[in-house]
Amino acid sequence: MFAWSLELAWLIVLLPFAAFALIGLFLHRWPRLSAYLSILAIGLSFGLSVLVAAHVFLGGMQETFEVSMRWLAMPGLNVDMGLLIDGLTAVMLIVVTSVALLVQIYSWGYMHGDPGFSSYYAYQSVFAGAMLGLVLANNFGQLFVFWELVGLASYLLIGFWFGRHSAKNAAVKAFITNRVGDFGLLLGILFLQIIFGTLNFSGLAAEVAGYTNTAILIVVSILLLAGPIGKSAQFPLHVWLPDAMEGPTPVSALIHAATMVAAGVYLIARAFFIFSATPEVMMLIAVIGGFTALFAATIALVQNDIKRILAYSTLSQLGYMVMAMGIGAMTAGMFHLMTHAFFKSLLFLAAGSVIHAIAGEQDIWKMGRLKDKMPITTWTFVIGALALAGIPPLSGFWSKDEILLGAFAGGYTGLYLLGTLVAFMTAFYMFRLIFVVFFGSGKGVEKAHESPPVMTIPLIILAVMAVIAGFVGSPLMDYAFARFVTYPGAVHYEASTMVIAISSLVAIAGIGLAWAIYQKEWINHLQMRERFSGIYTLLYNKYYIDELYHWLGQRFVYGTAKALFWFDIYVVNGLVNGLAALTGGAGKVLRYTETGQVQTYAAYMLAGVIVIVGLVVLAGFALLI
Amino acid sequence: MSWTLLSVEIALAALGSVLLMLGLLLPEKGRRVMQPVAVIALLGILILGGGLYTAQYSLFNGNYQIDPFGSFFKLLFVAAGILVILSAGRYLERFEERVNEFYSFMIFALLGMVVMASAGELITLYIGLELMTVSFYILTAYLLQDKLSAEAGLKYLILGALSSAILLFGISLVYAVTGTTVIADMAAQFSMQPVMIAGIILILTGFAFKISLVPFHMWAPDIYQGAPIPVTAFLAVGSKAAAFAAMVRVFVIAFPVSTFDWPLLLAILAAITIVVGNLIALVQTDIKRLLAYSSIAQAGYIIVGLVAYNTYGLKGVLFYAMLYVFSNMGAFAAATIVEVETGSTDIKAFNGLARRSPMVAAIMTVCMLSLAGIPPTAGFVGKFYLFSGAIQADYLWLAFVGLIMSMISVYYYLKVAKAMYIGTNDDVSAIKPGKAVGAALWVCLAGTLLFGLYPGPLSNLAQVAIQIFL
Amino acid sequence: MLLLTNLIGFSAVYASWKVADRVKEFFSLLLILITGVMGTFLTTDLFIFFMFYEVVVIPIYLLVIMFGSSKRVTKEYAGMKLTIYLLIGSAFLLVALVALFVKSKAILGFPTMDMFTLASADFPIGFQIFEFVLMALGFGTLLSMFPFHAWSPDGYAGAPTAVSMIHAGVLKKIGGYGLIRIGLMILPGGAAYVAPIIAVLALGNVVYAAFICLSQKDLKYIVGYSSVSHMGYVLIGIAALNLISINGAIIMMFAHGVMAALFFAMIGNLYEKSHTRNVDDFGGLAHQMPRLATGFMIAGLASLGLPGMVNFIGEFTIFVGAFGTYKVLTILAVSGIIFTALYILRTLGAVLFGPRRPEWDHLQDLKGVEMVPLLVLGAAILIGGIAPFTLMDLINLGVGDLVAQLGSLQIGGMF
Repeated sequence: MFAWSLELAWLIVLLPFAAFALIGLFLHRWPRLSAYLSILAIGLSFGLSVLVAAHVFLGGMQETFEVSMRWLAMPGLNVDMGLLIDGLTAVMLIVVTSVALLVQIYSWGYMHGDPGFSSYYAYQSVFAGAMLGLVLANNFGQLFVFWELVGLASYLLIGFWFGRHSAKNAAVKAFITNRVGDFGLLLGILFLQIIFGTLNFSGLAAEVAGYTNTAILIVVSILLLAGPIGKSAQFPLHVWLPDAMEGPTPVSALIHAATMVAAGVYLIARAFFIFSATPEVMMLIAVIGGFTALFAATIALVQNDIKRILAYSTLSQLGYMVMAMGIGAMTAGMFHLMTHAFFKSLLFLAAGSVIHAIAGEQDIWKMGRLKDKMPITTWTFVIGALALAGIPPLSGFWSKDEILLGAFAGGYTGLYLLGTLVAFMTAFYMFRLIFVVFFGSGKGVEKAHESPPVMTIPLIILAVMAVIAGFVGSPLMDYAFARFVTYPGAVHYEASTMVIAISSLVAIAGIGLAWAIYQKEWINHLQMRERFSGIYTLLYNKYYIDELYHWLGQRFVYGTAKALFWFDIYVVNGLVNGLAALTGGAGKVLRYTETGQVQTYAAYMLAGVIVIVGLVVLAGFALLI
Repeated sequence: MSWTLLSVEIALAALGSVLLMLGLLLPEKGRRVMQPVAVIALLGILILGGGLYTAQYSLFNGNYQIDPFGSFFKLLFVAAGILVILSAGRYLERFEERVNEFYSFMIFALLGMVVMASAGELITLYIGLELMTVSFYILTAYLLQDKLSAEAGLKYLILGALSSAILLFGISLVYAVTGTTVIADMAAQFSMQPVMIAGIILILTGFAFKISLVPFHMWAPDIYQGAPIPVTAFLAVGSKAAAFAAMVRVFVIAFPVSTFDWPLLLAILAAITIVVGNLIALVQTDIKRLLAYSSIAQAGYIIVGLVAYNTYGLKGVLFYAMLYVFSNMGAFAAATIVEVETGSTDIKAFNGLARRSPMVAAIMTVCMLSLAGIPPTAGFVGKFYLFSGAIQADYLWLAFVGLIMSMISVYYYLKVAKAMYIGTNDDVSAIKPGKAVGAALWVCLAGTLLFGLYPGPLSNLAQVAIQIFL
Repeated sequence: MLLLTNLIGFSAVYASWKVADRVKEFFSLLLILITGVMGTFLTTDLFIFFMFYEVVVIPIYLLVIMFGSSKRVTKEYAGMKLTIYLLIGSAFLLVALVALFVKSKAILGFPTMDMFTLASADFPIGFQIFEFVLMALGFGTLLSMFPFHAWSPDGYAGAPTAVSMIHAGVLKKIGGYGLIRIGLMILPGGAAYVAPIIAVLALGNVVYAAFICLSQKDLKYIVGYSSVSHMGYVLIGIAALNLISINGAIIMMFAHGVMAALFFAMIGNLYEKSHTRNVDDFGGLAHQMPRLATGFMIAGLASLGLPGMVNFIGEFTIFVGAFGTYKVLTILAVSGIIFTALYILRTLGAVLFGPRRPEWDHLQDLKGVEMVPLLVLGAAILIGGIAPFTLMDLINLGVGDLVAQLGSLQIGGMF
């Protein structure tokens, strides 16, 4: 069934890029046409992805599908451009294309009237295309190429409103932070190429299985891990993601949900055969993920910017996914990636709708009682938040539960407890936001209005997805998801009622607490803030990590830069100039031999003769002796 | 023997005398014809010499050699003479009443050089040398009203006499040991004695004075600066080349290297010369002094060929001497034009020349680049031969010194170029060099570029010329 | 390489469309320059090679002093420094070539300067090392190998746009071309011995120059130092002495050529209109000059090795090749990509982005012939990056001969 769609899978990648090229070269003067073209391209990609996924899931495709063409070839090094389609790819295709499509449609309303409308769609197309190329890649070389292009697109989109200093700096920060991660990834890839002589995933899988040098493998894994840490914004390279919301809100939705950050998790899943070969690295991954989840959740508790809260929630959820990878629950991690993509893009788009409605205001304390004026936005947002909080039977519940189950049943009790704690916090901060913004007792914003259908319809579609997407991996559908996205040797745990009960209770408790504080105001949150002002300040300032990096950067990087420049000017150049001056100086000194006196000249001549004779005589003696 | 073999020498002597007398006979205005007469006559002699190029005879019991080596230098001298006379025309207009003296002494100096190049015997050589030098004494002091010129003439006379004495003393010592002054016979009589070595060193010193090797170079800048520019040019080109011709013949044929390692001695002198000449040139502000020091350094380069003492090296000497005529004459001709125009020999006088006369500026630049040894000019090919020879003879260090200093020398040549191209000058009127000077410049440019781009023919001529040493 | 020269030469002529004063001199010198570079790449005779190489030096000097600009240093100083520095470097080279010429007589029985004949000769190892050191000095200077790079930033800053374009774009590449064509082909043994030292110096290029870029304010200095930094990659590629890395070095030379030329063209254009090159004076130029901004972006992104640009192909290939030979060095060199990204993005950000500044409202965007460098060079960067196989086919033709020479090489020293 639909086997022909596989043959056309390359179009999935190419269509958005073609849209980019056409817009960039010819269409940038016609914004509407550009947008139509871009949406059309991603729509077609979506259609094809659906067909491919249908073939993979329903058509019972057993083997992976792989084609490739030679891209860069020389003796000893081949980098191909290829397609690799299996269950993992199919899921990612659906996620990326659907979210990208909805975001682009939504943007039509959100970005209306922006002078850079065409460029915006052109960048969106690159973003989607690059992500799709990454997902379809069948080797590390290609993956790296698209990985970097994803970075480029995010740079362009985050810095889309380049007139703002903050947007400009956020874009640079995103790119540079990712570069640090890419540095490791590139080295890892180099190692793979040198050790195994191939970059092809299936080729490597076969080689790694038979490779015994664990030490090298650990080094390679850690290096490769640096890539996802940067891209999926794990601690300590997480700093770019919160700033990345300087871009237009739909872009944040795309970055946080489907394209950018998903790439890192996807990479771990795709290269799972390498990571899973070394338990030490797996543990490291789990710890990094778990730490990031907790770390970001604590920060999210006290933020005041609506997008910033969502951004830290993304960090936290990504931590979940990475932790899932680390404890071997790769399927659960991917599952959570998928459900998260839907509800997080929903949350961001809804938040965008709010911001759009109240003229760019992002501080939650300046909003309030928006539910009356923006019902669709409010309720879709609530659905998203419930899914995120893990309330059954919404999608987030199933996927989060799978991860907690994996941790619990796999014997990672510490991580399980941590995960549960984070689930509590998540429920709390999300509903803190909801109560303050949509319900609350605030005075409300006068001019707020519901967004146009072009924006609300994507919200509704995503809300539906946020509700139902979880069923594919639930026991109700017999863990259909796990059958397709899996790896050799995967262990599957039966659902545990206790885990389900605890996580649900915890989520409800979090919501309750938020309700008590922010809706009923039984506890005065301002007093709480006073009492714990030390912790509050620390959390509010994100543990001062940005400041630390900034300080380090100024002190060491720019310090070194200045020192080296000084060295270059005064030592390297100084040597050159010094030599030149020396030469010139020698000339000046020698010039004084020229006195104009005939007597002197004659004396020099005779002295010359005598010296020469003397030298020869001496040399002659030396020879004789 | 046939008188035709000596036709070049005879013709030159006749020409010199005729020009001297013409000056007495012709009315003042009519003396303008002397320049074309001299040029045409010299062209005729050039053709004559070319015809005799491959002739090889030993005249007067070996006292006088007619061979390609000598002929090569004869062509060189005559060519240089033509160029000097062409470029001197405008300069000499101020001295119309004495112009005959200039031309005739020029020709006599030329004759002296020719004799030096062909002399097969030390005394003959000495006579040629003196003929040349004495003519130059007169020419140097040609500007009677100019104190500098007179001073230069006097200095040259005193120091020249000193060096002649040294040379003569050397010759006599060598004669004392070998019992002969015929160059070709000396090697057979050669015996390793202190007196002999002293003689060689003294002869070497005598020549070193003429080619201005350090530390026997002191006279050159003062005299170059004081002398009239055309004379300076001829002095730098002709006198030096003549000394080289004689030196190569004497040292290569008469003094076997196996007994006394004079190439090493020369190598040291060459290195010092190259370094000192270039370094002092860096800080000069007067074009004549700059070219003087540059030509001191050039002498160092040419000596490298003699140090190498092999095919490449000797070929390099000849090749370089020839291209040096064109490049150096080009530079001097341009300097002459500027001096005539501005009355100054300061480098500042060149400011804005590229706008006033692009052609002169371009030719000046090319010629100086040739002196610096930058391709595609002939200077590069010449240096290539010289240093190939040095490296082949295992004087790698000398090649290093030479090449690096020659790159440094680009600095002062470019200083002039800079003045010409971006310097600003209050006077921006176009300069129109006369036809004769123009012709000289074009010939120099053609020679510089032609030998650089297509060195084959000249290289073959030089190859034929050095056959006598191999 | 010829392709590169033509591309850049063509663009350079268009980039200097606005030269009004002394047009005749400008273009005749420029043409001498281009001819010289072409000659160097075409010949197989070392003598001719050297000759053409030196031919280009003097026109550059004249162009710099006549049409250049003085900022941190005067143009006279910059031009003189560039000229003398390169000439002294070439003196080493000339000694090496002459020695080779002389030695070939002893080895082959006849003196020759033909590259291929020399390549077939088997020189004693000591001689090879000596020769290669000289060549590394000569070509290394031209390639601005650390610490012989001092001429490069000042020189580019002082030079007029077209000269910067050709110099950084093509002329520098003669160094790399020479090292590969002459150094590796004729003296493989010497290369193997000296290569580790070159690799270490090259690392100096990459990291040191990238750091210095961070502290620069003048656009031309940034690109000048960045080109020093990029040449480090080329040198590492050459020093790794394997086919992959050398292929990479060649691609990198091409890539850097078009990239640097585009960069200088854009800077030149901007300077011509605004009369300043100080990064701090600019800001938000993308508002007024979107096309210029596109050019800057393409050049900048290519410079930081973004995939899809030809530079990435070069860097990646070099890294793969060099990693097999020098582990630690390559790891350090790869860190260059971070710093490069840092200074490029900072610069682009400072110049192009940020709030609109009214004082630059009078600036005209690129139009008409000014677009030619952007279109030609931009297309070259993108085509090479998106479809590297086209470029590889060309290069594989040229490198084939090297394979045999490098076949049995062992690199001295462990790094």
